[in-house]
Amino acid sequence: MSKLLSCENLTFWYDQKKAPVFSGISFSVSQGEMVLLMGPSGCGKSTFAYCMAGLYPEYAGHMEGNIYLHGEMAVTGKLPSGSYGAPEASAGKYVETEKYPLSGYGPAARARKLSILFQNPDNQFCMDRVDHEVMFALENMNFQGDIRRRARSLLAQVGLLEEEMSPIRILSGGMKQKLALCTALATEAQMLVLDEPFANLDPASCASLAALLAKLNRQGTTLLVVDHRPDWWRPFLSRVVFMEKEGDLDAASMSPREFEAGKEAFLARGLFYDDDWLGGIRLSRRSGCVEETAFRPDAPGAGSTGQDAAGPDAAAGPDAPESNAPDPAGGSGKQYISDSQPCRKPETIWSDTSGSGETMVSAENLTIFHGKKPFMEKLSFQIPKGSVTALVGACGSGKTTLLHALAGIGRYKGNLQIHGRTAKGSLWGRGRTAKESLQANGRIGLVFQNPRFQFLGQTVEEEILMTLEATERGRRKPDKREMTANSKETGQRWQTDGTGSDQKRQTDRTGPGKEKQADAAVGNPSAQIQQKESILTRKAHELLAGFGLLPYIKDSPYALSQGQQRRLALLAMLVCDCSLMLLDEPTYAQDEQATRFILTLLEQQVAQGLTVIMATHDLALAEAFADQVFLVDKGNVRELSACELQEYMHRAMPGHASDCLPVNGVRNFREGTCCNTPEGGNAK
Amino acid sequence: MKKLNPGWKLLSLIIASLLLSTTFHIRLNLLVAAACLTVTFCTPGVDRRRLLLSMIPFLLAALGMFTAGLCFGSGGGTEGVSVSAFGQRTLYASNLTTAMQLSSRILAYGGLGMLYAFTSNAFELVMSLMQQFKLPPKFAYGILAAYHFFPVVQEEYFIVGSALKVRGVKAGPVSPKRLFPMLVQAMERSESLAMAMESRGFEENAPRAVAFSVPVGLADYLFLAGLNGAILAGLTLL
Repeated sequence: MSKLLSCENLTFWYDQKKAPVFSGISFSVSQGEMVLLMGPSGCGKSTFAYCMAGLYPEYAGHMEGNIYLHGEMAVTGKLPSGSYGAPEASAGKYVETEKYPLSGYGPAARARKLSILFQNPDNQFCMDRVDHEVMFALENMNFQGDIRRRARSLLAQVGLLEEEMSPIRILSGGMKQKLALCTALATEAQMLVLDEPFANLDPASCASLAALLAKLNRQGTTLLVVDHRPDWWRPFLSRVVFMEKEGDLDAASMSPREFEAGKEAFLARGLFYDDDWLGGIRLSRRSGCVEETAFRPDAPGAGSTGQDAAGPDAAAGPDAPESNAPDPAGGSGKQYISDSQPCRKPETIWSDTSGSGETMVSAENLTIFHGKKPFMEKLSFQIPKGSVTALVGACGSGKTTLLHALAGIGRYKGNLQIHGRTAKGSLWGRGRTAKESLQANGRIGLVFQNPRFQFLGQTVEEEILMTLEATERGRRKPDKREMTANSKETGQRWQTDGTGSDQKRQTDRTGPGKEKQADAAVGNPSAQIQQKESILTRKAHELLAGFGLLPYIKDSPYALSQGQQRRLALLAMLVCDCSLMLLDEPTYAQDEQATRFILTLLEQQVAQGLTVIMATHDLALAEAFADQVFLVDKGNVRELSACELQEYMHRAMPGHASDCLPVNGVRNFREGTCCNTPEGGNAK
Repeated sequence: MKKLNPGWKLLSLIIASLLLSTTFHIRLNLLVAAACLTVTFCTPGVDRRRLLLSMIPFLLAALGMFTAGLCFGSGGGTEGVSVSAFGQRTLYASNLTTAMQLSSRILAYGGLGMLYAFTSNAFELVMSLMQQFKLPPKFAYGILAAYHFFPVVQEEYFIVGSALKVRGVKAGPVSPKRLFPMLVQAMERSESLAMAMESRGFEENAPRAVAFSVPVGLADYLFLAGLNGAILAGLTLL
């Protein structure tokens, strides 16, 4: 097979004063291949993809080394416009030439050879309408002929012909990615570079897009895909390459046969291999045993077999002493937080909740507005305290709108009670005000889909400190309404006194007066304030270290990678002493290690009384992690039973065999019920 | 009106407004204002309610100029009328003239502007500038992209406000706490867009096909000549 794109000895710096992102990389892609480039988040694979596509170093950074496009010269012997340096060829002959440096190609010529699809579908389009965008690409290529007709045929190829006249703004993520693919087809590129194309898409869109790409690959287009998860690519990939900091990537590439045997290699790098890793999560959720773990980006051999979520890197935080008690629940090598927290027995497997069984969120006859129009009507649901609820549904079905309404920033009408207090809806206004949010009994935290909007600090450290200080202030001078046992309980959750969670749950019955007296007893106020500040700083550092963000403590939050930003936003919210946590796509762009870490952390908090509602596209995760799953569909919210969820997963992810298989000897749905018996599932 | 080439229409109206600015001519200004508004009103497919709403600022401004000119003009002159409204005032005829000149000019420009704004499409304008007036594609598509991103920026402002509210942080409507994330997002968006456009083959000096051709016809030249000729005639004859 002839080579199409290759690089030699490639080194790239974002900032020449710091270490290079990668150095001395060699890599090549041959015609017709489908190469999957994998690596943990932040390892530089996206940067590498951008370099190979020719966008860097023009847009950022400094590069050394050579990238070549291999090709045949056309019959006339003329080079594509903008390129230079090819040897002469006589007219009338096809000549297999040497490689051309990529930097010699101008954008138009380069687009004929390779085109790149970005991770975030939102900021890729300069036009307002679908067909205009495709015609724009055709214009760039100087297409002679009927442009409109060609645009329509391209749209038909990707399946967007019905949306020909729609504005791009209203398209879902999956359709936007298809449109981007369509524009890449318009340039007639021989090779496509895709940077995590499925990052924020629902499974149905993923499936259709993957099928489209498979078809293109069969027809001869070369694909270079950068991704965390191999699931969608498995049917048609040629080889898997792991991203390294240096060296020859081709040498370490795996063919599909080696792939099946190479599970350890994946897990050692903290990458997703398949959904087996969820087995450990599922088990720990059902049995209620939570283990302590810390985030170690370089941990060698977190290489468990995937059934066990503990790993050897447990108990890195200063919190808990290690204890290697054997796990009676049937897992292997699990570790407990401390001896003082025994493992709770599983009562019912499906919807067990920790805590007292009180209801955290209760909604009746709720109408939720999107803008001025009612979007979802007559919603009624209950969410118990200390549980994890997953919201699933297609893009645009209203998961985000619902979360925003619960957080108090969306408009709604009807009866919504959060933690026993009626949350004020509003017909005309803008939901709750900031002051009300501060005073809401135990705060409600929301992590947005795009974490970049949430950053308030100039540095990572400041971001966490700000929230810690605000929480501290809130605790010292509580409002009358806040002085309930519950808010004190949530306030205890983050104290790092190294005791077991039982002690953490004991509510501190001292009132505010007593606290102040105690402070006054210490010494003069300003020294005591400084002492408080340094305690907070230390705590912030500990938390950041636990999340693997300590090296970036002085950097601006915007300088982090996507996955790191999401972790930071999550941490900033977790520190807030919330009693209800709303998460919008928490595991977007996270590799396996980071995902596992986030889930374990959430689990610990849930065991101590936090209620979590998360909107996610990852159905396997929802099934394993959540106590109840709500399907948001067509303006309606409906709880799915275990079997209904399995059915939904089957329909949405046809390639996945995640049906009723026993995991580690424990069936993962209610014993004795299955999809066909009448007892199974709530009839709603 | 809608079928005229937007670029040439713009040129005609600019010349017209320059001609009107050379002198104060009350009757001509009022005539131009009335004619433009009538034509705009009668053009099919114009949102009349929006047109009336957008004339309100002009009317207010004209009214303001009128009363200011009338009551606080330099005065003098022989003819004066005493009125007792708004306190004892003497209104002079010369003031009336000044006031009418100023306010009628506002109305004339408003009329010309509305005539353009309500019968043209930004997209076609940019295309026409690129095709007929040789605007470089870089600027043309940059302007278009920015124009299409206005609603997105509005949404972002709301999201940033929501994020602040959720964190319990108070910030004024234009405080840096709101604007800074939006600024960062804008810079990132511009970079993403530039990379995307380039990867679709957008190149500054490469030959481009034209998909959205905006033609120039005889009607455009007639409009140019006719409008400005009429104004010139009005200036000299009226």
